[in-house]
Amino acid sequence: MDVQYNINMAHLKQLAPMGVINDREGHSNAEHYVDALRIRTPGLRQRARNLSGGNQQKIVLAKWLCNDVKLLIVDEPTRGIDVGAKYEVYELFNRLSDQGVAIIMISSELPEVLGMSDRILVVHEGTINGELDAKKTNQEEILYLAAGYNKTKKAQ
Amino acid sequence: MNQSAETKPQNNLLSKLGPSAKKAMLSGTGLILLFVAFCFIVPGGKFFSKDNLINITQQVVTYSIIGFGLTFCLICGGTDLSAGSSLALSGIVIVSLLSWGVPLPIGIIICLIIGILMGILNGFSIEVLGVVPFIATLGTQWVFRGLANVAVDGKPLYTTSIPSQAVQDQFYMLGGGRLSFGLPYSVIIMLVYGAILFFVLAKTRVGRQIYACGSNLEAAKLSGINATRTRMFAYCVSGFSAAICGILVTSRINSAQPMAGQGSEMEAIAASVLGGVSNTGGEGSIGNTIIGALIMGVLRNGLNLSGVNSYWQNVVIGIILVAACALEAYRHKKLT
Repeated sequence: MDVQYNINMAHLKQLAPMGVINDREGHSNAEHYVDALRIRTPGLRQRARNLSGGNQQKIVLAKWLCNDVKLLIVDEPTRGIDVGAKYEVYELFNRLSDQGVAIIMISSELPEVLGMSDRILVVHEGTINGELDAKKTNQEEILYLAAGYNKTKKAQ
Repeated sequence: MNQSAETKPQNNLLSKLGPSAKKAMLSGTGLILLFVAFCFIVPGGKFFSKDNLINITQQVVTYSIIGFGLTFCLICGGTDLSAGSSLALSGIVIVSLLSWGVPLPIGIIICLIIGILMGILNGFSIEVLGVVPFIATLGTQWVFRGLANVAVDGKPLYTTSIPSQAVQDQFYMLGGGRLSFGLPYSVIIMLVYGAILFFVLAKTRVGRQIYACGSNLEAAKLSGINATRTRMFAYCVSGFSAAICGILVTSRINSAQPMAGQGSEMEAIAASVLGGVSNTGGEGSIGNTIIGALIMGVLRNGLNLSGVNSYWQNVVIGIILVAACALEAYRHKKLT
């Protein structure tokens, strides 16, 4: 599957109201997101699997952004991609949240969590173990909750 | 920001073409070469005569109609080995129906519906029961072939058993009839059917979803595509194509043979692959299949006319198939 098909894959319903795909709209849509997310590709006809990990990640994001989302849940959005692409993904998230999109980011990288979020919910063994304000907290506090250390103290 | 080297815009024509179009150009070149070669090899200009060219198109009809269905299955990452048996079974169904006095159009519709049902059975055993496509359709291949033999007790069913002579003639026109200048109706049916399927595959939602399922099933599912329904559709198209082909073949030879179409699913797979449909899914188009079918048809016919015996023909075709795929693999390795 090439870049254009991939970007349009999750919103085929809007592109094809009668089951027949509007290719011109699909092309301009793909072009728009390749520009907006700075996806580095030789062309829209390039196969997505030949792109770098970061650019593939951005294609996945583009796929869902087409649908005018109000809420975005991302699971480890920067895993396995290089620093430059990571930075662009962060920038994109900031821009989106400025536009009023709610983002729930699941991540296990503490610097990323501290840098990106407004509120941090720490999960330990499947339940939320505490809520922190990203402006006022640090890595120790997060790990303290993540390891479930507060629970062991109560038990004593 | 720090990866500037990879953004080099290529605006030449080649980069705008998809991979299947590129493959189509390659195999199309092969086809033209073969064609020209046979024009010189075959003695007495017999190859490039009107009658022979029409003959080739008629042979190509079988490969390509079954090939269309298989193209759908191959692109969505499956395969359908039962197509040849479905062909035989639907041929027997249509002749039986007609000999019971069912009118021709209704008989054809029922036969096509049975073709779709055979596709649903394939899809059911693959998607719901979870059998691997290769094994599931291998099983249904025997089931359909067995049913076809049971229905007629292993003997061919001749169209002379149809009570009305008018229906007999009409039925023969479908596969054996010709336009005034000699072009068979079946070729026109093939072209129209091919055009419809081309449109479905290239321009509609379900076509796009078939590509998605074949190229990366996990990603397709995560993009909200109903993979079960999509692949079910592909197997239905395959069953439907086999039924059309069954009707045409039966009509042309005036009898329904329970052993008809044996191995034709393999020839159709070979045709699709020669034309450039990827055997692992996600790539190819109806155009590829038509080119592949033409290659097979030209090869068989040309070898026949050059006086190569049919056993050696199989050897040659087998070698060409493997060589074509090896060449493609080599080209692919060099590119990446």
